[in-house]
Amino acid sequence: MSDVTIRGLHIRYGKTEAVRGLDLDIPAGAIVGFIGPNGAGKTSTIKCMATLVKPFAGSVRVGGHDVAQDPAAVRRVIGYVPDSFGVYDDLTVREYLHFFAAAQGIPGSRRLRLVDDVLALTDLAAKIDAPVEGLSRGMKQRLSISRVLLHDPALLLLDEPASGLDPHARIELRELLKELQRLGKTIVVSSHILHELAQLCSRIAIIDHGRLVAEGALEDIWRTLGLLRLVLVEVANPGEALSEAARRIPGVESVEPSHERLAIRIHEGGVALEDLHAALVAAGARIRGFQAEAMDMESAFLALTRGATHG
Amino acid sequence: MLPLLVKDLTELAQRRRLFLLRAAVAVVGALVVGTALRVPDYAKGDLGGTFYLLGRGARVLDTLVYTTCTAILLVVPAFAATAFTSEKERGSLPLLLLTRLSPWRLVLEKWLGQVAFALSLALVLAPLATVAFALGGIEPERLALAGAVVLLSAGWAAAVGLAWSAWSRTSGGAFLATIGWLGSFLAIAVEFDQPFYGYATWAWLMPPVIYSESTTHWTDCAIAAGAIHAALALAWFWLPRRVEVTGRPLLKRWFAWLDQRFNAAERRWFGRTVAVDLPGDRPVAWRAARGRSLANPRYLVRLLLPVAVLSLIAGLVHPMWQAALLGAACLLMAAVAAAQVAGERDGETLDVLLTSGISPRSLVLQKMTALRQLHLGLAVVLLLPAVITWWLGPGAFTHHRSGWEFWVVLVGIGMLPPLAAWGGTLAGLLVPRRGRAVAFAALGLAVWWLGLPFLIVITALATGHDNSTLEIVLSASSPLTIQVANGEGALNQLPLRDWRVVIAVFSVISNLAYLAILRRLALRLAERCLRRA
Repeated sequence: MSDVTIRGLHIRYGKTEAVRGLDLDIPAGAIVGFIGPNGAGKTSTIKCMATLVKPFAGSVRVGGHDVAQDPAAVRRVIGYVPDSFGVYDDLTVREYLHFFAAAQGIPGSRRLRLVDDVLALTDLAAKIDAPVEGLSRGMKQRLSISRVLLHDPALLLLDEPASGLDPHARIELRELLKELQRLGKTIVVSSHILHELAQLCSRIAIIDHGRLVAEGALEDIWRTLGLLRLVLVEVANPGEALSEAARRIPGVESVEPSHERLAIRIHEGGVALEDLHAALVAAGARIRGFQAEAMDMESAFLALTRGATHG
Repeated sequence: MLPLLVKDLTELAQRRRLFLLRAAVAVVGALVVGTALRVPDYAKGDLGGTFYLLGRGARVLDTLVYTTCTAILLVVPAFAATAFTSEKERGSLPLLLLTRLSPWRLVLEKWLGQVAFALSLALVLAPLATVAFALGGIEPERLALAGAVVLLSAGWAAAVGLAWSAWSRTSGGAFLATIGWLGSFLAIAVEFDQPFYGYATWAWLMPPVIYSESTTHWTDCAIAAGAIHAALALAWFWLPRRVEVTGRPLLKRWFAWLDQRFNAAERRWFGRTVAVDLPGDRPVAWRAARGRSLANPRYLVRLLLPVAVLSLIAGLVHPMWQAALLGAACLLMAAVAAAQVAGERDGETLDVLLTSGISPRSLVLQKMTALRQLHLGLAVVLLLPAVITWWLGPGAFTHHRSGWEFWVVLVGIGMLPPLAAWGGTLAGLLVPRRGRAVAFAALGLAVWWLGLPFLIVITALATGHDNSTLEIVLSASSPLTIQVANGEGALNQLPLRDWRVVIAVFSVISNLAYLAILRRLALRLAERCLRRA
């Protein structure tokens, strides 16, 4: 069953059309990555799901409620985290969460326990009396996620959540989102940094110029586009003979030798990584290092958006 | 070559809104001069007729000069004060200082640009001067003085604005400082318009006041020109030294210093108390009245103590100063209201609030609840002098006081700050950036509350006596105006003494109507401006 159903969505700001006929289904319990360059329409679509932008045409249904017809009902089932996090610097962590618990209409008797629970989940319990102003960007991000968990929404909308975070904070965020998925939340995450979502999302929606250009599981998009994966192999015995042997392995597109390293490009689905490793060993390679690069999302994205731009 | 001047003039020429502004100045000027022409001069036995206009050119010229100077002093500071701060905000000032343009050249070119803009405002009114000529009665020296005063007003407003722009970090701070200084100059020039050292007056602090004097003081003009040089020298001195202003602004540092003193006093007298203060069912009102907010009673006391002292001194000395203090209180209410609504959008917390289930209407109403504490505190301290004079009875102080002054003050203090607060809320809803919303609120209040009383002054100058009942009633600041006018005994000269009661009652009713309209408009706009889906 879909948690979010978008049909023929158009969003306009004056004469500018930010989203042009978007159709998308987001299944319950999925983590969906919303990818696109700046100005593609990601934030507009997420804001529309969050009842902050009115659709010019088309419909958006969240949890069975139409965002234009019944925004109050939609707000009860969503949690929205903007890219600026929306925190009040003049409050402490406790006050901030109590403020939003009151804003959500949660009875006072339940708030104390609830605030402790969400802080424990986001690993911020030690900071309960710290001023928000003094928190790091990563902590503010987790505080913002704590806020949206207060009313236990089924759908979390996160606009550019990893923007400006250091690597440590990104890893923490990734783990937190996986934990939230285990708790049954549907999560929509937008980003323009492609490989950042590749490690996290079960589905990807690529949007460009307000149109959806691809949608589905990562591997499916990969196969559809016939894109290549890069494998870096460090060997103790480099040489032309070894490079030639590697080129003859089925599924290998090209091999570029460089000092003690071979850059091998393979077709996704053409050869499994373990089979490639075994074939290289069989060809006499003394392997020191074997590193498969993350999927070349930039290539996928460029291939898709080029089509959309010129098509 | 003057590259900065050319750039500034090109930018000014490309702004479409400035054309509208000039058109508005021209229309208002024509209306004011037309009023001056139409109203017969009863004081001179002028009862109208075919030839009553002849020889009235001097009066038309006077009206034109005051209108032009007012337009310049109201508009130019807003542009001059942002001349350098806008360069600082977009990071282009260090680049300018790295070029071969010296700081003095930068100041001079910016000043020339602002003066040119000010004179463009004067130019749109210049055709009206032909009316004055046609009517006759203008002495050549008066004409020369008129030109000098307009030029000095333009130069003065631009120079003060530039000096504060060179000092300040933000455009908002520079604008407030400029307005504050020009306001203070006006107050000093009017209040101390007495010769000192036998040959000049304080009128040079505000050029239009030079023009209002019965004798021509070219010495005042020369001093005013010197003062413009001094302000430009200040701008030149500050510009390279305050390119990168670090640390907190002066006002905030001053407030922090005061805060430390108050904290120390609280600890000494009341001991340290730790109270857990969490929001109830109105979280927006709770947040607006805590922390370093003026709606927080703890901070409100800190504001009110100096205001109470000022109010007592000002109110007992002269009702005009008490009225000015009330005006400042209204500006404060409008600024706080505008800042707290626009601040949610500026701080990017509005979206989060709206998805949390709080309606825009409730958001605005809760913000206004917090402002009531500020209004109450200000009302108490502003009423002090009126209560004291009422208690002591009329004639207790040097100025004439009537028995009904207390009630006028009560009406003014009771109604004007909420009116200002709702006006500020409207500005906060319409203008997304906090600084601009505050400036917009202040400007709106000035136009509405001072624009109409300005008509009173103009017609009074033009006709020679106060017959401006209609204008008094039209202005939202009627109680304030009545209070000031009554302080001077002017309303006692009205043909019917009972008119004062009529005016008072009408102003209460009209202000109640204004309040209802603004509140309704703000709540309706809240739904439109804040709610998106």
